Amino acid sequence: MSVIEIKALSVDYKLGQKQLLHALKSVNLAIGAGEALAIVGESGCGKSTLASSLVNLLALNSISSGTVLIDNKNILEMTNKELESVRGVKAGTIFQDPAASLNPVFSVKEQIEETIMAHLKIKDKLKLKEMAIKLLEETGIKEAQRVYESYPHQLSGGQQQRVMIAIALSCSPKILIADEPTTALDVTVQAQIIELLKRLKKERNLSLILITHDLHLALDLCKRVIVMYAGEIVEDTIMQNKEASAHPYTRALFEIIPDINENKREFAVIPGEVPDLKMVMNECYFKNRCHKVGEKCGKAHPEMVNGVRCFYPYTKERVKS
Amino acid sequence: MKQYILKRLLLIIPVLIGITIITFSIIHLTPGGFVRTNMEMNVKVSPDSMERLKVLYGLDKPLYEQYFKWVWRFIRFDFGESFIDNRPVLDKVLERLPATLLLNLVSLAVIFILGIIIGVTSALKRNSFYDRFMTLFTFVGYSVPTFWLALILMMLFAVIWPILPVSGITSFNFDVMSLGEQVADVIWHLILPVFITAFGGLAYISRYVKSSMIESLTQQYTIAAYAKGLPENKIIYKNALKNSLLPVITLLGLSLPGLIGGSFIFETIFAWPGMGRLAYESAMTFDYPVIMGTVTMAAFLTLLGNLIADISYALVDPRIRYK
Amino acid sequence: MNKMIMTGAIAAVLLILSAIAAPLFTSYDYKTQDISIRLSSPDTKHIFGTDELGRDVFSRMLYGARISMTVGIIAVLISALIGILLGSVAGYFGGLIDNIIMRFVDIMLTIPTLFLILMLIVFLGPSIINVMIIIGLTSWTDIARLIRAEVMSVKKLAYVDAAKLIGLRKRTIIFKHIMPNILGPIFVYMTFGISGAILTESGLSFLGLGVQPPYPSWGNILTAGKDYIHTAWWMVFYPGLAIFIAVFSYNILGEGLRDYFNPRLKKENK
Repeated sequence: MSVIEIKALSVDYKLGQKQLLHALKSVNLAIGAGEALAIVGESGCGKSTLASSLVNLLALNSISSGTVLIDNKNILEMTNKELESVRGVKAGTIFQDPAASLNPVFSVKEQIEETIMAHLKIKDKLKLKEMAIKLLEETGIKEAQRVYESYPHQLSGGQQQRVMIAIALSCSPKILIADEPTTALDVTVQAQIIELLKRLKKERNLSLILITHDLHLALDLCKRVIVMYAGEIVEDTIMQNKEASAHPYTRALFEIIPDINENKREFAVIPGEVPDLKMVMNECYFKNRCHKVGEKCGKAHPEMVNGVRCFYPYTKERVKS
Repeated sequence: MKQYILKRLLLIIPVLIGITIITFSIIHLTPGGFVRTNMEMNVKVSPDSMERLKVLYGLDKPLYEQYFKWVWRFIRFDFGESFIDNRPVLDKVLERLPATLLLNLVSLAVIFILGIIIGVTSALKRNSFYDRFMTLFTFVGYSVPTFWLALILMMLFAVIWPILPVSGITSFNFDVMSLGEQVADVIWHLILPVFITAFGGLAYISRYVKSSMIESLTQQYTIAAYAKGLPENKIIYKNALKNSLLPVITLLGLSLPGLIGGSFIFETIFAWPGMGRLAYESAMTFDYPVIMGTVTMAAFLTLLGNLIADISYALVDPRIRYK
Repeated sequence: MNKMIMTGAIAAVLLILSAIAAPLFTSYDYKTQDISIRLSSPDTKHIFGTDELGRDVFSRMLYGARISMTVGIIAVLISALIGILLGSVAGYFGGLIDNIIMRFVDIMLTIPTLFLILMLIVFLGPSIINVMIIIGLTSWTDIARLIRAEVMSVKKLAYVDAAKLIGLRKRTIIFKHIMPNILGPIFVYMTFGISGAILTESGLSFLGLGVQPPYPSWGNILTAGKDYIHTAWWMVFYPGLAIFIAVFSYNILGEGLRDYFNPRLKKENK
């Protein structure tokens, strides 16, 4: 039973007079309850757009088609009012820059409690405070009382992100969307937040959707990895390491991350550039950069087969879940 | 926050010193020691007045001594006596102060309330007919000479359709009115002056609020607020609005000099018994002490207003209030 | 937005032209009095009527345009000069000099401008020249701040250091590198400065503190008009309208220029 089901989702952005940017091209995806999956890809691959579509937070100049079903209701067709009962209630979101995502002129107390008040209709001040402090403690904040009364600018980056997580989970949603949650944080804090997410996912049985460009981060937190390129999903499998991946792009991503154990002096790079998203082509979008490119790649557009979109995928032993 | 306030207070001192220097310099700037040429005057400066002026400013003493005497007087608000009626300048200024304050504060309030409403609604209805109309409207208001508008309205309301008073702050039978009637009477007299002031002042504020609001609405925290599933009303009128209104507070302080300065033109037209009119009258009669007194008082009011605005801002913006 | 610049520019140019070419548009001299026709309403011979001394209002307005325009432009030039000077000195040298100049700016901003002008006029005497100078002396603060900010930011840019290394003289640095960035905003401020100066001058003249009779100024025609609002509405209506149109055109021009020189901002999100 899927909690989220995406069918043929396409999102275009209007640029200027007549041009369209094809950010997402007919994406299909199903996510189950309690499942942790990561969406990985480089900038511009469409992962953020995909995340935004989940709660219909797309920009004003976007045109979308297809369906995004949460609990069997199509998010894309909902009015703003109807979306109010999805956002924060069914799915919570945390963003990349916690300092920018928290309103600087309201206290942590106000920002947590306003969410609870809006959705759970609780008005009792003491109850609200109790819930808020509990949430803050749950996200690993040590001086919950002090943070509760603070303003965002008085908190460290890690604390701010924990507050964001507390807010996102305040109304017990079943889905948590984390859009590059650690990119703006220090490396040590990154690790803490990832551990926190792991714990919370387990304790609350969340469907966790992690958006990131960092493949290792993705593997640390999730078993199922979705790789996106040029607005499409090119791989959707359960993988732990390079050998478990099938798409050349995924393999290349593994290659370019430097391994501390190896003695290489140069960084590997995927040659070439991301294709122009304004054009629709009848071939594989990764063709020009692929080290495994073959004849079929230029003649037709590959479909998703067995979780990979490639004419010449790597074969390997896949771990069935 | 204490540091912030302290810093602000300290900054005032050089400004005060500067004001004394400027006012002092202006007195001594005049060519040939107050000799007038090319001027049609109603009241010529009598030798007697000149003598009194010399004594007042100690013009026969060396310059630096004159300056310190001036500063000493300045601190004690002693500007000497008026040339016209020999009353202490301070008294004359203080008795006109309430009227000016009333006019300016009420105008300020109207400008800000209306300006905020127009700014916010224009931001929400961007590029609509309403928005364009408001922009044009405030633009016109900003370009219209206030004294012309005043005269035209006077023509309208005194000649053609006499329903609003066009002069003074109270009606002639003020003293026999009850308290309620008195209050109503003053309000009645305030309508035109406030309207004229507000008409010109709206443009700047509403435009500022509009762009501030648009800025807030496109920030990451607003997107995050939508993602939290908060009702749109709350997002716009609570979360975004508070952010956009904070800088408006400092605008309040900055608008004060403009208002006080501008008021003298139509305090004169409307026979409003305020400081501006006093300044004008004393200018016409070359009552130098009173002129200095009014200008200095105006500067003080501005400083005070700015200080209040800055302190209010410090209180309201948590980023300054707490560390 | 270009429409704004065009409209404003055309109107402004027309105003200036009509001021310069005043004698072409009217056969009346602004001084000629004819008491027998005083306060007569507009007709074919005097299209804006006559004033209390029988002078033709229309020609007084045309010649008044000359004065108002001149005062506006020269006052703005003076303020621009002072502003650019003080601003660049403050920005370039920084430190104590900058501090002193900025305190000076604060002081100027604390005393309400009109009061300051009033004081200066009283002490220096009202005349066209004094009005120009005094307005110039009291309205340089915006330009000064702008120039200072520009100079400071350009100073930080690497290529100025590189130029210094190569040994270019300071003058060259200023003209070649800093000027182009500043020119646009200066034009904007100057345009608004002209409209402000016209408003101020007419206000002062209205109160008898600016242009003195018999020289005509839109403001001082209104002075007389004030006393005759019951009988000679044309003395109030037309000069004020002229002031309004002039100020409005320069303001629109200024707005248009400001949008033109503003770096395009990002697109909106939600």
